[in-house]
Amino acid sequence: MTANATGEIVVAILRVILDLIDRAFRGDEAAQAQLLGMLPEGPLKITVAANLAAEQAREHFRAR
Amino acid sequence: MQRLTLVLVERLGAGLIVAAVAALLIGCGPSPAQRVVRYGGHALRSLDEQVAPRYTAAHEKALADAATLAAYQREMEPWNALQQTMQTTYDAFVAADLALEAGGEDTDALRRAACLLAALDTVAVRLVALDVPVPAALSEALRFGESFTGRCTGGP
Repeated sequence: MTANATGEIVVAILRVILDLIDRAFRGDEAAQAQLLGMLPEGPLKITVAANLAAEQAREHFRAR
Repeated sequence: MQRLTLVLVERLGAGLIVAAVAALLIGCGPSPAQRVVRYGGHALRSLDEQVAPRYTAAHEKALADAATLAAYQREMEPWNALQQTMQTTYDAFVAADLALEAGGEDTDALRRAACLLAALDTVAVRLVALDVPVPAALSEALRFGESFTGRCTGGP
């Protein structure tokens, strides 16, 4: 691998890390967690779907 | 920012930066117990991507089929059991991750982390009940935990 190619890879890695740091400082919790290597907090998508479904079901059967 | 990065590359040399980034990543890496916990958590997140659309599809079908709210809830019961198991297990992984991050690691932390991975087995059982194939990420996480510390036999 040439020094030039290595340099490009390093720049790409740094860009990703800097972008992550930037998003973390802007309050992006997923980026903060990713930066620390931690698991992101918050509900799973299936939980969000379940809450929405429960609401829809209540509305649906109330309307009947 | 790009100019600054290029100047850094020129002045310090690519090799030096690679070494610095590698040292940073390796030096700040998680502990073995944290790796186990995060592996399980990420496996659940990966499973979540697959099952969330299936949950919504099941809900739409149940809504069309069921005549009453009680009938709808009966039809959705296995899916809701899966959702509750997944969320509770994931919350436990997050809590364990935070506790370990806060310095709560001791000599028994690895075994307790493996016990937490055993909870994924309950998720797998729920998936089988729904005829949803257990994804490789989940079975791998279970195997990963076992390979680390053996089966969880004692209390946590």
